[in-house]
Order: sequence, then structure tokens, then C-alpha cells
Amino acid sequence: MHKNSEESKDTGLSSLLSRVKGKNTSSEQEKAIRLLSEAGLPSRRVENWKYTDLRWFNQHQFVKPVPVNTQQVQEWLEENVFPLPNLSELPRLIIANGQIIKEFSTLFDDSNCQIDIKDGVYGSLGRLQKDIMTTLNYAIGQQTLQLTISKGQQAGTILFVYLGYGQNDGLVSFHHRLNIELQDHAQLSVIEMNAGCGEYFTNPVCEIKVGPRANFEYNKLLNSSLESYNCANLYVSLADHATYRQFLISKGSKFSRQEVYIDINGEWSNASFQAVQKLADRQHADITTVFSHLVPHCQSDQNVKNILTDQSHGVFQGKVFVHQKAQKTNAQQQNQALLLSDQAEINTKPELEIYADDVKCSHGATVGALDEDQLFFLMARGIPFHQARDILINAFVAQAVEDVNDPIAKQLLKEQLGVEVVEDIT
Amino acid sequence: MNMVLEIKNLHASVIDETAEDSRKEILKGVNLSIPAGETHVIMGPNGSGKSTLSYVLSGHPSYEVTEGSVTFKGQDLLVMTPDERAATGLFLAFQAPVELPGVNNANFLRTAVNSVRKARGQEELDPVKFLKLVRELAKKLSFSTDMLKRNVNVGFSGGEKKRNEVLQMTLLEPSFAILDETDSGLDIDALRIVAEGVKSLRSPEFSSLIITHHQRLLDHIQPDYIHVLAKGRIIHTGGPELSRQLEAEGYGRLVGEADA
Repeated sequence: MHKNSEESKDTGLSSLLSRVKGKNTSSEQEKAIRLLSEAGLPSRRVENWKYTDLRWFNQHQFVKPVPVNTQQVQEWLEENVFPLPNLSELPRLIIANGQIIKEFSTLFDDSNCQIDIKDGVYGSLGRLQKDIMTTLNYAIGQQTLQLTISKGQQAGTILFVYLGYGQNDGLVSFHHRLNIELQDHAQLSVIEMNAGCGEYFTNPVCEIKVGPRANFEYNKLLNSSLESYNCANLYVSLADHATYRQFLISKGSKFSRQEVYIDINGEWSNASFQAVQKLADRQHADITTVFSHLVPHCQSDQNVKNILTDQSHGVFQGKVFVHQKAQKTNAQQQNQALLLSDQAEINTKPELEIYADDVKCSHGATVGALDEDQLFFLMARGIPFHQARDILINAFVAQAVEDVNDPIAKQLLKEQLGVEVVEDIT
Repeated sequence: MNMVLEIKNLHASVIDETAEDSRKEILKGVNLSIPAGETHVIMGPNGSGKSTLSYVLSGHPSYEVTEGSVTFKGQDLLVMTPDERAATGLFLAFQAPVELPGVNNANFLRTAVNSVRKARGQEELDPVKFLKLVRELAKKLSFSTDMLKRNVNVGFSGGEKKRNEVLQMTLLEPSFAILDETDSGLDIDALRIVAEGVKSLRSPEFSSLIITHHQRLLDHIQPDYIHVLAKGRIIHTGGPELSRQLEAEGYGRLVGEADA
């Protein structure tokens, strides 16, 4: 790993690490700090970071969050959650600037979920040595939120809200750690909203263990401030007959990288990942996935759609690994990009690594502009250019959210994508 | 006479940036005037420029007008965008209508109707009024209401696509329609239904330009004039009897005379 020449005590990684160095730390945390101090951040010469540049780190002095003004949080909720009956009635957890805002969090009263908050960062799925943002989370994180859905419990839908507020003294950073465990036959659907204002950096790590025959749906909306930096790492482990479905909409952030690692450890399980990156201006958004099929008879599919305007830059690196034992695997991956300007850019890198011989794996990537003949057809029917264009963009992304099971999430995601919620008028 | 459409010395090229010769002239001086209320037909050999003429008139971006003028209802048609042309009353029924995956047909139709109504200063139709209207028309065209629920032209048979075109034409109430081989690929029943759809629009305020290779459609729709387009120009104009003559003789003699 290349070491960035970052010697100044005041900026970049060292300003972040200075927060925790020399404090009473656990062995994992110490290890993480040591790893980061030695290796530094990866440069673009590291294969996995070829398309995403972390040099912005060095332009900032990282600072600790100050306690958040709950008035601000209330205002956000009043605007974005409370007016929507479907959403406001959900048990919710509100975290602002890394701090749980208990007065607005109703999840603690929800008997379907067991919540445990521990000091320090714990986990078992995240790869401390390999994934730099996970290492960072271990190094700086302060506490672990553990959510357990016990055997057979149908926990319905819950809402997570992560808010970030920039500070004047430097780049404030938040390093949440959330571990979710669904035991046998349990069910949970999570809607996660990320929002905020100003400049900040979020570095959450989430681990999800989906037990035998359990069912988890994770609908994440990254709508963070357009000045913010967001790097989220997600680890999922599936037991037999488990179902995991994720929908990710990435439209906020100046810079984002979402890493998704799914280990399929139990037979007859199913993982689905659908994402839409809708970017404009100079936004950079990266989705990097590794789906590991480790046992036979499992299915996975990944569909990532990009709609890129202005000088935005989308990245999708998707890897499917099929272990020698994982016969009868059915894995599908698709990446599509709609480039709406000459200066928008997409980098897509599909990777298949297959050691079993009786599997069905496919991947495909398409990049293109809007179809001129389709656009002309709509305009020839009297529909003005901008509206015609929106209809086609709408059609391109609509499919991605069509399969969301949770009706509340579906409505929210559609609205956020600007997908016209088309009622069936017939 | 009150002309709806006046084409004078129209020259147009197709733009293909990937070709060595990126501008290829297709129309080489077309002159054509169509009065209100009349039905004109264009026939002609393959590659003579019939579809190009229909695309140029409706404003397809792949074609460039290099010379000449087109006046539509007294206005310069060539400066208008395709949607403005539609709002002014021009309609093109496509030879090969595109498919729009992910776009619901009923919603598309309503958006189109309300776009032109808005541009014409008419009141937009709410879903209830619109559905009533579209269901009535669909029935006349033997168009199953299932096709309203599906995505635009996706999985439609050739005949269903053409009926969808005629449905759009009827809904948009154009004053001038170009039908580009709307009859091709239709079975006898579908042809009759499409012909009835076109005939039902006939009025002193409605004119049409029908591009066809076949006599069959003309048996249903009695045209006022038939023009022969060859090598990018109109080389001959005659009455309705001309189509039978062409069917018997082919284009050879007329094209030969024009070359001479």
C-alpha cells in the first residue's frame, strides 16, 4: 500500500488519528491505529481505489463533533418525517453528529427490537486489515449499537436517520458502528435516511447477520449535504434460506464510497442489491461490492444504475466470487449508465472469480446517452424536450425501485429519485 | 386556395457523423402544396426519400434542411421544435414506432394529449375525463384496454403498434397528418380498422399525406391526388387512378421520363 506523504500534524489522517492516540484503547482499536499510522491512506495506484481519490483527506483538518443543537434536528424531522404519516409512525432512531438523540428516538420503546449500546467498537464480519474505511471506523469509533431481532420476531419496518452538521473549526467526522442480528425466522425492514448540511465526513460501518430463514430488507437513501464526504462499509452474512434485499439511492454527497460485502454462508439463500446513483455538478460516487458465494444453491443479483449529468463521476466495481464448493450458484450483475452530458464520466469494473464448474453467472455493462429516436417520438407527440427527457430518465430508474417490497420505503425512494409516482389511471 | 402545407424547393440531408460522407442529400428540390380538407398520397420506389420527407416535416434531429421552405398553416414550420409542430397540428404516424420500456401507455397518451392541449390554450383533461375519451376511441379501433396498461409499444404486435399510432393521432386532433406506411404489415382486418380511423378524421379542416406502396389502403381511403417521389423530387402528380396505373406498370416509365 502506498503511503501518502502526510506528515503534517494538523491535517489529513494524522489530524484524525491524533484524536485517539495515546488514549486508553482496546486492542482492536490499537491495532487499527497502528495499521493506519503505518500504511496511510491508499492512493489510486491501489487497484481497489483506482477510480476514487482520497487526496481530499489532506486538505482538511479533522475535528471532533460538538453537541448538536436539538432544535435543528427537530426542524429537520418536522420537515421530512413528521408530515408523512407512514414514516412518522415508524419506530425510529435519530443520530445527529454521531450522537443518539433520545428525545426523538422511539425505537427504544419498540418491544420488537432489543437494543444494546456498548462503549468501544465491536464486530466480527468487518475486515480490519483489508478495508481502510473499516479500519478507520475501528480506530476512531466510540461506541457500538447492537440491534437484535429475536427468533421468529416479525419486527416490521423501522427508521434510521443520520444527520450531519458541518462545523466552522474543521471537518467534523462521525464513525458510527451498527451491528444488526436477525435470528432464525426473524424479519426486519430498515429505512435509512442520511441528510445534513455543510461540510462533514461520515464513516459508518454496519454488520448484518441474517439468520436461517430470516428476511431483511435495507432501504438506504444517501441524501447527505452536497458538501459532505461519506464512506460507508457494509458487511452482510447470510445463513441458510435467508433473504437479503438492499436498495440504495445515492444522490447526496460531494464524495461518496459505499462498500458492500456479502458473504453467502448458508445454502438456499438469496441476496439482492439494487442501486441508483443520480449525480450532478462535480459529485463523485462509488459503489464497490463483493458478493461471495461460499455454499451451493444460492442466488444473488446486483443492478446498479447511474444517471450522470454535468461533470459528475460514477464508479461501480462489482465482484462476484464463487467458491469451489458453491455449485448451482446463480449470480447476476448489471451496471447501466445514462450519461446526460459530455463531461460526465462512469468507470465500471465487473469482476467474476469462479472456482465452481456448475454455476450460472453473468455480468453486463451499458453506457449511453438518451435514445434520440425515443426522445423524438415523445416530442413528435407534443411533449416538450425537458418533459420528454424526464419521462425517459424516469423509465430508466423506475424499474430499480419497482421491486422494493416495503410500501413505505417504495414511496419514499420513488419520491427521492424524482420518479413520478405514476398511479395506474386505468 | 387555402393551403395547409406548402413545401417549396426543399433540399434535405441525413446526418450520419459516423459515415465518411456525413451529410448525404436525400431530398433534392421537393415542391408540394396541400390544401385544407384534401388527402394526398405519395408513392415511389424504395430509397426515393418518402420517409425522409416525413421526418423532415416533423423535425427529426438527424435531418438537416439545406435549402427551401415549408409553410404550415401560414407559419414557418422549419424553425419549430417537434413538439411545437405537434401543437400547431402536425402529426406523423411512424412507419416503425419505437418502444418505450418503463413508460406506461395510458400515462404517455395523457401526457401527450395534455401537452398539446396546454400549448393550444385548451383545458387539460383530468384522468377520469381522459380515460372515458381514450376508452371510447380504443373501442372503435378494436384496441384492447389491456394495451393501455402496458408500456408504450413494448411487446405489441405490428398491428397493435399501428393501431396505437392511429389512437394517438385521433387523440391529438391534428389538422394535418402524415401516415408513413401505416398500412404495411397489417392484415386485412387491421387495415380496415386503421383506414376507418383515418377516414373518421376527415373534415374540411383536416388534411393528410399518406405514404404507401399499396393499393389496398387507397381502396378504403379515396385520395384527391397521388404524387410520385423519385430520387428526392416529385416527378409526377395525378388523380386517384394513378395508383392502379402504377401497380400495373411500376415506376420505370415515369422515372425514365423524369431522367430524360
